[in-house]
Amino acid sequence: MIGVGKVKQYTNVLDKPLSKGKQEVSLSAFAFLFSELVQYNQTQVDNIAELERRLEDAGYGVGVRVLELLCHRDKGNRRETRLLGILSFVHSTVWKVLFGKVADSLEKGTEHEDEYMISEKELLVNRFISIPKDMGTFNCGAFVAGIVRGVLDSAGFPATVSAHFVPMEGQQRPRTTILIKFAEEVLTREARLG
Amino acid sequence: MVETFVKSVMASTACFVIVSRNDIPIYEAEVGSALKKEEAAHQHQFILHAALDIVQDLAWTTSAMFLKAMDRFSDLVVSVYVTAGHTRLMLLHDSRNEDGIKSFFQEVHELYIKRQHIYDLFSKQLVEMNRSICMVDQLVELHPYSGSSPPPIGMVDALLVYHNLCNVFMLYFHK
Repeated sequence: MIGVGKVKQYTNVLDKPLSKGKQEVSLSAFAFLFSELVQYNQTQVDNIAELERRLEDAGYGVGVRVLELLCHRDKGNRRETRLLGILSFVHSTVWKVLFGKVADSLEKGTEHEDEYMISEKELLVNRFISIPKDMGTFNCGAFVAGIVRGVLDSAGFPATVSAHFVPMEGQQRPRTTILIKFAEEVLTREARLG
Repeated sequence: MVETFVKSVMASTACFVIVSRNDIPIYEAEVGSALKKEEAAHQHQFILHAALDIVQDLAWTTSAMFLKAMDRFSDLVVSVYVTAGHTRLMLLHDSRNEDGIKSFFQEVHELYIKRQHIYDLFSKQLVEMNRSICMVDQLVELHPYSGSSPPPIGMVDALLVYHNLCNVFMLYFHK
């Protein structure tokens, strides 16, 4: 009989130590849950804008909690105080933990000072979703936009975040871009901090 | 978790408040000689409230979470710990043991992360009911549920949180 060390069984999942717990969830389970989330919200609303807003709000709660958890677990209790810092945090750390890889690219908008874009060839949440023609510009990436907004908002960088499809030549499926537009106060504070 | 920290911090009075990102106090506890004097308790709350402005400015100058003794009032010192989501754990005390205070904050921070959903729940309730300062046990009383049916899971969890926080607090400041 191979002697096994006694593993402490935690009855309450909340009592487990925080440092452990980098767990993987099955993709199909998540896809199923997400599709149910979208379908449920579809029955509750009349128009697309409201549906997008609901998905965003669902993501917002995730974002707030993810920020706290990741700062504690992966960054050793250092907060982000600068704009570029929090953007690269979202782009690499948050994406890595949520989707298993860093985001494809992070760009600064050319027309406006306060716009930034995170692009992804194929968003994980959109992988198993097809949008019917009559829904127009609806994008289920609104959930991810909500997550990003939650992270930025609770870190003290209020912003409006939205998800858009950007068609690419030479590729069948369009690229998804998360557009982040920061509020005025963020820019003034950045300028003040130098 | 709590049992591993044995040494106490040697402080006679202490007032601990958790303030959310939107400047709503979520939790409050008072320990020591101030318990006997009503006005001292009010004064402590006032001092901590006034320190909020200083914390606001200081939080953006550093990326550390533990801001040490950043304000003084007679012999009392205000120490603040700012989490990633800008929730402020503020402590008014007269102890000089900074490491003990730091580990206290870190423990509360871990507890806070694990029970975040509870604090979000209370923040929302506080905003809706338009109350300024509540203690967690008062909120538990306010929540309407008949004695016959078992309390909803959220309340049981909230009581656990309160219990845990009291334990941590007492362990550090009990003389």
